Amino acid sequence: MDSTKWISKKVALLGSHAVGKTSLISRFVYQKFSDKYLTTIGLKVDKKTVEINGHRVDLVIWDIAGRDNTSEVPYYYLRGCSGIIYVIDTTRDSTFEKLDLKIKELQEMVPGVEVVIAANKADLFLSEEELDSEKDTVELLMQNAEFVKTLGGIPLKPHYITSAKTGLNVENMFLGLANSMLSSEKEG
Amino acid sequence: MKPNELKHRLLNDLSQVVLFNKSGIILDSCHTLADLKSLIGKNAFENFPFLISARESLELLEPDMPGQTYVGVEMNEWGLDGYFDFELRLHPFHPDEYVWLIVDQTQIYRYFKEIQSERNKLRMEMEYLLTGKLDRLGK
Repeated sequence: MDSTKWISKKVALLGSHAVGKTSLISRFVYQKFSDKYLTTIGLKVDKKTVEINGHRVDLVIWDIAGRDNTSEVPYYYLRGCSGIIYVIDTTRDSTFEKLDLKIKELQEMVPGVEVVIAANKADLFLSEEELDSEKDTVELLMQNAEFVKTLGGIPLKPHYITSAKTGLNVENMFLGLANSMLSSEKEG
Repeated sequence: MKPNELKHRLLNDLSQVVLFNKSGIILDSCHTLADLKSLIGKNAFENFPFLISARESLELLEPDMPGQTYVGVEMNEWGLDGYFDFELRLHPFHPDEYVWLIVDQTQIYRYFKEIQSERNKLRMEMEYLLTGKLDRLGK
């Protein structure tokens, strides 16, 4: 690790209230999940170091209190962000209304930022038996008519189907975003 | 004691000022909330992830411009454990230094967190009721 390049990247999680932003961070950083819902008051900053292609990357993760409109986030909160994870709750349509416009707005607010959409709480479409089974969770979700209908109603295709509760795609999402951020840095 | 003196005394116990330069070196602090004596001369950017990630925002600050406020920041560093409002601005007399005002709001935000969580849960349940997703309730 000593000879590797050290990089710090700021990542913000945005989305409406109670979509699971804090839970996704808690799963990724601390490998923990709690069923008890407690809202985020303003902001919490966490850090996790990952290794991407031989580089040590400090992901400084901003958990920003839920807002329905991205324009309500002060501009200086997002300044310097290399990545944004926009989280939606697949069980609540209101959390992905006008998603396309919100993402466009974010890309205008933070030029060059990598934005990924996380379709969270996917576990709520499956039974306990299905979740406990050995079967591939995403495959099970794709066979679930209600979930497929929900996905079809989201204005933009989510990059990741996630569950902070089961851990589905949480690590993949953060590492995938870290990879994209490093790639765009090289291109830039 | 005059009201003004009382005000200062009451607010004094709830707040702290940290001065650091543009490279992040901590120059001084009043140590009211957190004892930062061992960090004087050290780099705040390396010791507090929030600051390193706010560095680009700090570069936007201009003299005599209102500070940048970050409300309800959950903090578990430097022996602190609670919710704090931050204000970051340029030093009024030394524009090459930053002033970081930290105000302890733990008592009010702990209460507010409970209330707001209940409100959000109600909003969520209302949405499930209105969209016929009653099976989501209690999951």
